[in-house]
Amino acid sequence: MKTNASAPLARLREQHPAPRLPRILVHCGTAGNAMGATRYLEELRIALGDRSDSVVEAASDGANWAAPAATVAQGTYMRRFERLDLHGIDDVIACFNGDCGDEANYAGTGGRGLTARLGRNDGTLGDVLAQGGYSALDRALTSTPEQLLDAIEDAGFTGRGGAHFPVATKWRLAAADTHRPRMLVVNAEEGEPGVFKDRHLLEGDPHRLIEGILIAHYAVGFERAYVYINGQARTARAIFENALADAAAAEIFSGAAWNQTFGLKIHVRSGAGGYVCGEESVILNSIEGERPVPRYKPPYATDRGLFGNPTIINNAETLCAITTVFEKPPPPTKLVSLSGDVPRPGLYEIPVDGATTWTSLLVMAGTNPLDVQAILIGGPSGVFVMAEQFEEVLEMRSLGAGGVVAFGSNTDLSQITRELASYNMRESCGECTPCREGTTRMVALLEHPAEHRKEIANLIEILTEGSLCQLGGMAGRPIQSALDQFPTAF
Amino acid sequence: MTNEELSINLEAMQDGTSGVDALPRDKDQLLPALLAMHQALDWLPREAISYVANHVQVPLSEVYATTTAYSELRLEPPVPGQWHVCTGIACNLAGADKLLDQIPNTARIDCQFLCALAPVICDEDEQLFGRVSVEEFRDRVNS
Repeated sequence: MKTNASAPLARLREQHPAPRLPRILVHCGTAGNAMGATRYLEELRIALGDRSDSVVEAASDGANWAAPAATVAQGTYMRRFERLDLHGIDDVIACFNGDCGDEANYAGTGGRGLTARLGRNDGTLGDVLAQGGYSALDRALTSTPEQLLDAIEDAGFTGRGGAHFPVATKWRLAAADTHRPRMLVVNAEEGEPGVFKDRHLLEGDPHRLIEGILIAHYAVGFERAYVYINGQARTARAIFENALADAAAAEIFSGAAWNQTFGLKIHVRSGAGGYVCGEESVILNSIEGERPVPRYKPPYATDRGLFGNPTIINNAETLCAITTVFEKPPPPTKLVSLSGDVPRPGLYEIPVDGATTWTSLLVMAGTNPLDVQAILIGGPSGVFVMAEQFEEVLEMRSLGAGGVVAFGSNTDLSQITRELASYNMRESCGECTPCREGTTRMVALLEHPAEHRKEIANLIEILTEGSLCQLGGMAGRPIQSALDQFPTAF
Repeated sequence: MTNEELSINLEAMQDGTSGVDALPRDKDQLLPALLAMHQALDWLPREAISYVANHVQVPLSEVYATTTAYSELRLEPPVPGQWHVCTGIACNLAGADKLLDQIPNTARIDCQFLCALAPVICDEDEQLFGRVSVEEFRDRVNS
């Protein structure tokens, strides 16, 4: 990825040199710290004495099952040491000193896709640039905005937040409106239980999101960008803001590094909880200081969005993924947040290439698919996929926002269904009657579902057709799915 | 409330108000202002909400309506020393109920988004711990 850099990018790389190797990356961040990773950071620094500079703090690389973990980066290879204990740091140090044993090959995604650098950089600009950071922006700047939009369209690029709307089509809607200031809202609210991809992206490779924002800005021409981050993701916000400051200091954000004037103002905002806050129009209200409830549509955000201006709302993953659009062939991948009854839960970037099935995902996560009775895709708005459907080929559309929970054979799926119904009831914002009353009624009906089949079917229809936003609109989905897939469980 | 507690609260309130004062007096600063107060005080007493309403020039009733709509904004002080157990889907599967049953003075909390490290607990400073057993939880509470 370092080839064909323009003179400005080459200059940036000179100004921000790559880190020295070998080095030890200790995977901290929210996930690593929850498993005590900072202790190993300290122990390794003490053990290496005057070479302690080579032990650096990195974020999670997505392999949560391996935490606490450290990766040794030697010249041409890496090796991850998993589930560290104090005894195990001797092996880490031996590998740092050149003896990595037989398992020297790093089993990561390796150099491509949007997780290529995830957790495998120390957060400095030099490290990110050395690993291909800002080369997609560099490439984009050699084309006109129209050519860039064509390239995104030709790659068949769709949004990664769940709806999978074509990105180029959405961007063109705003780009066409040249008389009013255009707004970009980056949705990193990620309030869906079971989804943790945006936190990983912001903590583990924040410059990729900045690069994606600048590519979007070059294509559309925004006045302002708002990055709306989940209120609990404080570490992610802090790391992102640091990266933003570095990008500004290096004149990347202003465009001056490329002798351009981007003129984009960026604001970082935190949410304060609530599943409904991931809904696009709720985010707009929240940013404006209104009550966080959905808006009626139309007007759509591309016409009258933030502060009444044409607004593009993209998921953080979408903008990170856009940086891979020039990779040949463009890898259609999706981040999957996998949890539940599997030996290796964590964040996976999986190819959506017409060959990947649920079985392949489960095998990747170290489980025998026969031990899994069902998976839930999309949390409280999602559907159940039963064991006999595991051979189905994965499509972007079937993956939603990428939250997948696996249930072993002992799980009571009817109980899970009731929990999902209760969750939707608690999280309903109360703005519209179908959702406010409907989700409450659903919980009551699910006490004795066999006696209320017809009422439940009617209620699902009311929720789906009558709700103001997708929280209510999709609240009936897991119930319908449960009744279709395992009616005898109730 | 002892004088000492009162003075700590006043100090925290001062941190909160200076955080709010640093923000522009516009309506779109409502949530950032509430969060600045919440960060300083760990909850939002009525005085704090009034202060925010006045600063961003939004009617108090509207500010209250907005405040109550966000699940992470507390309208009561947190219970000192209280631990929380995540009750998201993955944590429930991994035995969150057992942790809640066996460790006294613990409360439920919604998904903490560390689903791959279930079950997850959270101390009063909001530090998260993953893959926790009953024994480890007990040790942490008692330490």
